[in-house]
Amino acid sequence: MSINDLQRKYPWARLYRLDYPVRLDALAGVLEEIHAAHRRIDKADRDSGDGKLIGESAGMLKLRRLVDQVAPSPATVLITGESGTGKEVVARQIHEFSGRSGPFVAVNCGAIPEHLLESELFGHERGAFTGAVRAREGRFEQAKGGTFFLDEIGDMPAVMQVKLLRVLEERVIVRVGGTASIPVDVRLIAATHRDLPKRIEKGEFREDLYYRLNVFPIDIMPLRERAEDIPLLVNEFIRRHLEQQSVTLRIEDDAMQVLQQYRWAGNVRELANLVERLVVIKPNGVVTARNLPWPIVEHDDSLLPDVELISSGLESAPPGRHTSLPSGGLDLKQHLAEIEQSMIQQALRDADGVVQRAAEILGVGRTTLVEKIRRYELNAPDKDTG
Amino acid sequence: MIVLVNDAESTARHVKELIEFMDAPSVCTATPQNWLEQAGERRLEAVFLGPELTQPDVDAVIAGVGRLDPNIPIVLLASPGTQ
Repeated sequence: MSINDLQRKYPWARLYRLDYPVRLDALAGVLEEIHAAHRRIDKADRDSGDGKLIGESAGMLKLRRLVDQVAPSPATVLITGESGTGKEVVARQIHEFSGRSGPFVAVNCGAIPEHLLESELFGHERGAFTGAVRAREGRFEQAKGGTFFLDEIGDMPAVMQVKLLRVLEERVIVRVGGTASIPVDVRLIAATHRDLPKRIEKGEFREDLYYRLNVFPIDIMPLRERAEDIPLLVNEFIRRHLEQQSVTLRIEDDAMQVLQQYRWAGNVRELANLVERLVVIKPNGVVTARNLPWPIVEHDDSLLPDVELISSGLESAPPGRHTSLPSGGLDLKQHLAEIEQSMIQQALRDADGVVQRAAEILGVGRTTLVEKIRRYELNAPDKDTG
Repeated sequence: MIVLVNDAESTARHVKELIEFMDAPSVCTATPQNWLEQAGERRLEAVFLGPELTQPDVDAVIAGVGRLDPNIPIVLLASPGTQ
């Protein structure tokens, strides 16, 4: 199947093509495009709500209270939450309300190759390594008088964890290849989507560093747990498109209801991207539930796009939803497995993650369901009544 | 983290070396059956699909990416001449 066919089949997917055998220049081009795409997503994440914390749910009100409380203090903050929940937006808000005169400097520990991270954070002296033709200050120094945001701290290599711990204890840094201790006046905010206590148990994260960082913890709830904020967020994203591109969109009530029921694994970032795509597909148009792409409509059969719309390329059909045999045939085993996975996921959602209840909904034994969840590598439910 | 999904280990290793040569973040190779497990909890920068994968495997991995995070870029390695 060609990339064009695949793109028609999965219109939501960000597909790239690379000739094999691979040429280095072509690979470099694709990697650069991928990095650029991530930068756009990260920027969209930073810009979510123009840096404002949008929402009126109890969770958001509590989050704003925490930000207001901690911002003026020098306390180190550890922000946790799933990917796309807006951890950097919260960090920037804390900086904005802190009254600190220096800049906000952010580093993503997971995005910088391990061998470059130390120089990136602490800087280097001239001649410290091949290519270090002049001395360079690191991000810690650049954040002087301001806030230093260490994103994806859970991905920091063990050797760097030791060095960061020393900085937090002594409040000085030493450049790579240098000997002088340079005092750093920064307010540190760290963030991660990982379960740090679990990583400590596995020996992947230092416990002493965790306690140094976790002075003021802030946990951001996933979007699916504050579904009442979704209309506010959608309207805010539409407003921004209107402001920047003079293009608007109207989301019908049935579509909004579907959006509020979807699980949003990618959280606010995924919602912002969806609005952006809808603006591209239907500029100044009206979006109904039928216009929403898979997997957003996956869980509601009554709202699946019809065949005509699928063939138009506007809507996408989830795998395992065709009721007629495709002309090219299909892999029946795979097809049935996808239907089974979809039904299990829906049952787990309907049962709030309680395996026993989901098994009753599906008419199978609990043991059978547990085995299928394991085999399909579905997300382990949070709750289990045993 | 970039995950390279392919059935043929030699092809996967070769492409992995090239990606690493470009100073990309860490790269791991995986099969269509264990790529999610291999990725673990790490943030996925991209998923590369090798040229030897069957169509059902390609479909399954793309669908898996959609469930995980539809924003993750997917790179298809294909022989020249195919569209």
